[in-house]
Amino acid sequence: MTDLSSHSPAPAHAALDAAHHTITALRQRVRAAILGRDDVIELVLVALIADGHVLLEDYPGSGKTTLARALGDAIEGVPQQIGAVTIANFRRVQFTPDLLPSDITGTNVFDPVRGGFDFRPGPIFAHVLLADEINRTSPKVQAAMLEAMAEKQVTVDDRSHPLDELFFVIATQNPLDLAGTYPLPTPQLDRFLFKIAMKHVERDAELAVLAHYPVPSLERAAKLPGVTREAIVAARRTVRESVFLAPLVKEALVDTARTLRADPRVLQGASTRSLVLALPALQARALVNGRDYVGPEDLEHLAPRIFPHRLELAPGVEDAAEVVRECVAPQLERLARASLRR
Amino acid sequence: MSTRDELREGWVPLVLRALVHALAAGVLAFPLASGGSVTAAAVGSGLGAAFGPRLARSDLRSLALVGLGFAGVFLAILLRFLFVDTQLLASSLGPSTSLRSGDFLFFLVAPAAVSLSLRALATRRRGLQALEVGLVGVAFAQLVVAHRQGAINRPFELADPILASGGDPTDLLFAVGAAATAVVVLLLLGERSLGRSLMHLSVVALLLLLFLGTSSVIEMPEPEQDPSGLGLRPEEGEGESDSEQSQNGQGGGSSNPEPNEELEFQDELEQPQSATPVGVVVFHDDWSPPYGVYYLRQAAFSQYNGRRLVAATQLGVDGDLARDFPTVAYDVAEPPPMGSSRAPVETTVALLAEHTRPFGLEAPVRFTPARNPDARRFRRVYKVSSAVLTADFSSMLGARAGNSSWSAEERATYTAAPNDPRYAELAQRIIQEQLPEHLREDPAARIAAITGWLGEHGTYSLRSRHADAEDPTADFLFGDLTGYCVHFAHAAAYLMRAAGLPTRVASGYAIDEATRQGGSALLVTGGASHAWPEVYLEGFGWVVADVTPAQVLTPPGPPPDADLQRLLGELARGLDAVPVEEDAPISRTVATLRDVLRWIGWTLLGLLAFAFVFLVVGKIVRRLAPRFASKDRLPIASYRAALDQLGELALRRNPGESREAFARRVAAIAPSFEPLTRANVAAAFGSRRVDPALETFRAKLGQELARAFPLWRRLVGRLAFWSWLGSR
Repeated sequence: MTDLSSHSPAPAHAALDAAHHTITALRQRVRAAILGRDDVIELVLVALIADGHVLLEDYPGSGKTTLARALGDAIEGVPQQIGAVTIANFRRVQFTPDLLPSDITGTNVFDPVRGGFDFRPGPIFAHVLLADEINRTSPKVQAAMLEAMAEKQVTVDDRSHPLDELFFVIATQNPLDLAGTYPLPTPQLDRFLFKIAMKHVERDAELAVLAHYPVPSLERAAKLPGVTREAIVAARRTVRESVFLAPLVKEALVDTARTLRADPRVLQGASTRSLVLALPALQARALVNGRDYVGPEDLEHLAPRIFPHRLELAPGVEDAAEVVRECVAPQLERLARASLRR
Repeated sequence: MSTRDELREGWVPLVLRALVHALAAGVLAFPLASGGSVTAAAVGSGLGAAFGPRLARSDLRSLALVGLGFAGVFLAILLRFLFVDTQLLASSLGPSTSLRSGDFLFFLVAPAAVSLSLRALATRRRGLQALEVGLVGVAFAQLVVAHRQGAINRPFELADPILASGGDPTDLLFAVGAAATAVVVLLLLGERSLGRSLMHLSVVALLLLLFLGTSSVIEMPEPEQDPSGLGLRPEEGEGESDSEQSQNGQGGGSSNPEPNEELEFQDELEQPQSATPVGVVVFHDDWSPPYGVYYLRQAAFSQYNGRRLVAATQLGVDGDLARDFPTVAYDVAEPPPMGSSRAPVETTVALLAEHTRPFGLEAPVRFTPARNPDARRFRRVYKVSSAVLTADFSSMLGARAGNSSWSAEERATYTAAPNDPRYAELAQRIIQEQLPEHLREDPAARIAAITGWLGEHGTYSLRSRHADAEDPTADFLFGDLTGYCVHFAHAAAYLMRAAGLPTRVASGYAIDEATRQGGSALLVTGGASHAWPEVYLEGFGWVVADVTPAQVLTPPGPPPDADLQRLLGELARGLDAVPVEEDAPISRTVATLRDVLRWIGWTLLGLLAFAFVFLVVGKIVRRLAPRFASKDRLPIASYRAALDQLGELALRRNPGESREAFARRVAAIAPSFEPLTRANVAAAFGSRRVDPALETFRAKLGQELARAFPLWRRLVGRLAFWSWLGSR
């Protein structure tokens, strides 16, 4: 983390401005493609910058694919080359029960000419991967997928193949059609930074979508300037290094988690890892909103996104987000009061 | 308030508050109303307070609640008007019942409406509880004031036992008020939020300071000082002769046989047996009148004007009468012959009521001014030397009627009688019937005959029916022979004049000798006023020839208070008759308790004053802080000042709400608040960018608020010195 005394502000400002510029460009591109989803776009961007992954819980046809594709398309520049593998900007995988891990990771294929095995990369070698209906596939595939998400590498036949540094997964699942699915267990959900329940868009936004009817939205977005992969990676670094995270906020975060664990409605609370993951998310959100510090509003907004899917709730308790909101409220009050007490 | 259900509270505070309301209403009504109405006020107020919270939970708007209170009071006034001031109900119920029920309804409905509305409002807006505390305070303060002013229904029950034991009832009244206020204050302190409790306390402090401030400027009303100290002196400002009338409950004109310039006949003379003292006569010489009654003469009427006897206008007639109050000693012009028949008696007369002329015992011969020993009690004090009759009645036999030195004209004045021949006939008949032949020509015997006959046949009554007659005396004498002293005196005078005796009617006071009760002072009361005939006998002067009616329809009044008579006598003599009040021994515990209470009171007052000053200074300092803040402190100082500005207008961050969310909420009214919030939060959470234009945003915030809120609302906010306590 940064420290005010040992940090020279001037380069930090420049880096922050650059990072903010990157994020703004990304946001405008995605916004052009997806109308009326600003809140989701912001969260997805935060996750991207915070180096996390998101799980979208939504109905079919609500623009998940468009969102992911727009994000992938926004990354411009020379395609990334890792060894022999070329990294695509965007890949989409439809998860089905009969899918095999190799269908995602890729497989070794015998090359009779060379007399050896060649690695054929799967769709996972992409900057942005849309894992559609992740709960429909077998736990084996889920495990392979989640390993890749956590380790940023895949292992095929005892050989590890590193994924790109900018590996970002947008997984989706249908909240209603649960027949024949393999719901993700809580420890695996832990690998997602956010679980975002998308709501139907507003009437105006829906009308706007229809108004643009003849022109495909992605085409419209493509006219806007994109960002390079390197810019995003740099923004990630800048966020971690230069967005100030006050000790008070860290205390509030820890105390929120502790309150959650002590709450009788919660059987199993949030992990320490989730707190570690939360820090870059908070910083990222601060920068997304053009701030160079993490404020209470970041915690207020992100806590109900970060914690709920990591909790095991007691029987009969339905709304995890509400529980989180209640547990974070006293901390927010404390932070608000602290701002006047200095 | 989010839901009305939040306004529910336990039944203990509910009952307590209702009790406090009932107590306050009862106390407020106590000096104003009778027992039933006081109970009605207490019950009504208690019920109103009990149902207030229920009303608060209704969907009625707060403004409607205020209206409801006023409407209730209006209804109460209307009911009272219907019952008391209109003929409709008053005639069917009778005056007493309608008055009582009107009062009862008024005191039932008005406090009920006020309590209901006030309690409902205070349930919704806790700050309004300060009004309730104020009401309780006012109720008790008013009780104390009423007590000091001696209102009709003042709390004798509370005050008298304490006064009797030598204490000061004010302390008790204050204690009761303090206890009731303490209950309310405790209820206020029962708030969950300390800040609010502090706020309420400071409001109470403000009210108290206002009260103390105004009362020290205007001062508590002084109790009405009875100048006589005994409640004996009549009101100032009335006409001199009227004052005597009002003493007797008469009102209007000289209509009774008071020592006045004129004597008039009046029907249904309701001469009360007034015990109101008008003066006191102190005897310096002992004298017992031969006829058992002390006559105090003030005026005499001897000139017949064709209808009645009036004060003589001729020079030389009635020269023995007092001219005026003595400024220097003077003798009357024609004193009665002093000899064996008369003896001098010295008296001092001290007047408690204003008189037109001095009066003196029987036949005053000399008036001398005297020092007024107590100017607060006596209006006038003078000495009278009287030549009182000592001669036995029998010694008058053989005396000639009239004065031989009188001119014929004078004699004619004293013997002029109505033309009615019946007087002479009756006089002759009486003399014929009553007297043996050898006494029929004797003046003294004639006097005895006529007065005796009148006394035997006449009936004394204050109700008479003669005033309308052409000659009321004839109507009386030849009619039912029922009348009062004026009738008897005139009848006797006319009869005696018809019999050739020089007679006049004297007026003044007649007091039974027994009233003296052996003391040297004689209390003169308004009820003792009298008129009587006097006859002139050679060698004796004017002799009282009073008639004593055998039948009396109007019972005599009670004898005057012997203690009062003695006391006033001693005062008139210049003695300090009232015993000096020694400091009543107050028991140690009471004294200690009083000290402790006083100490507690002053401490509380000091604390409240301190809280008030603290709040006012705090508010000013916080508002001005941005001007003096260093660059580091500026975001905090500006933001706090802005928060206070918003807080004054009841824009406050909710608990658990983040500053940013609050700023978004306020943005619709005051967009300039957002940059201030951002600056504050940024500074607090480690931003390295400081917005230099914070104070311009604050200026803009002021303009935005000025657009959004009316002036009075902002002024009230400015005056709310406690508002910054709620800034969060």
